[in-house]
Amino acid sequence: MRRGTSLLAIAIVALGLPGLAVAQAGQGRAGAALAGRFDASVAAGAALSDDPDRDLLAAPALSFGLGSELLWRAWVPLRLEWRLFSVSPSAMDDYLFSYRGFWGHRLSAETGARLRLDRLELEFLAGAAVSASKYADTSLVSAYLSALAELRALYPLRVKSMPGLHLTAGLPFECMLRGSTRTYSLGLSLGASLPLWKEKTR
Amino acid sequence: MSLPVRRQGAPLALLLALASAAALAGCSQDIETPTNRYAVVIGVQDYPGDTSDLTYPDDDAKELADLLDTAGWMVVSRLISAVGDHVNEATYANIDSAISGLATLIGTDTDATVLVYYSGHGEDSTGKLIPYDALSDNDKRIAPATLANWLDALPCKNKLLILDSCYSGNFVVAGDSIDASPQDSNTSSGTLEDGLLETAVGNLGELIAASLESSGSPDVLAISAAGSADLSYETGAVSNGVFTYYLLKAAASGDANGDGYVTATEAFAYAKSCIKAYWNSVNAASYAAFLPHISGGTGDLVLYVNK
Repeated sequence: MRRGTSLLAIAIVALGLPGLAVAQAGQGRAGAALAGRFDASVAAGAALSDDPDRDLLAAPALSFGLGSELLWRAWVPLRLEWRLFSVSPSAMDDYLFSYRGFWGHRLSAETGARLRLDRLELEFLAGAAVSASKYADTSLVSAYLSALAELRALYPLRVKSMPGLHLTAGLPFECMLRGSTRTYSLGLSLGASLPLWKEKTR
Repeated sequence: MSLPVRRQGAPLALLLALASAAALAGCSQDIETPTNRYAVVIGVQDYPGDTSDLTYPDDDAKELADLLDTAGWMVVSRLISAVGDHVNEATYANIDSAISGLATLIGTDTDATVLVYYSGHGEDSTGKLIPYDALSDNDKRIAPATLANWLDALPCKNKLLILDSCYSGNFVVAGDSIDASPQDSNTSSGTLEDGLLETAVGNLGELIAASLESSGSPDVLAISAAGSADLSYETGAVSNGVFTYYLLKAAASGDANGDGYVTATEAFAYAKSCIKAYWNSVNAASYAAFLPHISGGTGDLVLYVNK
């Protein structure tokens, strides 16, 4: 197996660690408030790139992700996520300059708070990520850090075969630090979430 | 919708542009071709004596210059050294003068775009360009640092450099990236590229550090026919340098997204895929393999306007 694929597999398994930790912590302990969830989502949106002496130029962006999170009372102590993303080449300015498209893998860690509004649950998250990417149509590899913020909404779906299933929708925002270029991404994500360990409260 | 926005209105523009940018997918921009795009085209087929002469750099230069004239450029200099005509044009002094002369044309127009193209010999290992009068005078060979200084003196921010010569990868700066494609295509791994995750994870610290520096993108978007340790070839089968042949064809066939503009990256990708498919795989027994390279950085420039 190529080393890159092995590393990716390790990263995906690591996403399950919060849930596994919860399962271990919750074994046999009635009334535990610690819980975990696993989710998958797709997102679409726009990426706006900004460079000194250049216009702001926008490009479409798509991604698919797998995440897991620890839940404890009104908090999300830790959310880990892996995303596979793609940003298309941007629009051109009046002098036929544009930003290259790029695609890659992102690993993120966030923390935040949660709020219940009747059956709807809202999460307010912030964190950071590291991404490895390739410029489209080239063999040029780069890596960069990002700052993240996200508003997520979860709504329970009543599916007997999948208790605890939630529909998720999110507004993810990312600021990517790519040398002299800052790329800001805002999107809409849709997905589903399943509990790894059912949350119990006294 | 015209999406590019000026920096002064950034906050509101950020939200508006983000909200509407999804409509970009499938939309084709219609931009009036700017008139401030200038090219210097150099082809050195003939050298003093007969033993070092090449066959097709003059054809490369003439054909590219003719194409650029119809594809949104003003070709201000054609420096060609060829047997029978244009003798002695492509000398060190003339090349220096042609490139520095662009500054006069550009004036204070920092949005201008310049393109320098060279087809001819490249010095063993260093890749230094060899003008007509540099065969026996090493001081007149053009090193990457020299060419970088000449281009740096031009006041515009859009600069393209295209080289069809041996070892020309020495002129390509990866910037904040690592090129996962080999500079020497004739090692045991051939032309195979390293994977994205392998390259990134193996060099993560270096890449992150590069991304955090304020100057990430190279000043010049450079495309080389070959790696820094590769030869490049010309062939009678196409009557051009192999790389330049596919670079020319990219004008008609390299518009990957069909928007009427062939960017430098699109032209590079087209030429590279053709060289892999039609040269490296076919001629492996007789000739060394080679691959084009392109510089790093977030920006791209249009090479051919087909609208």
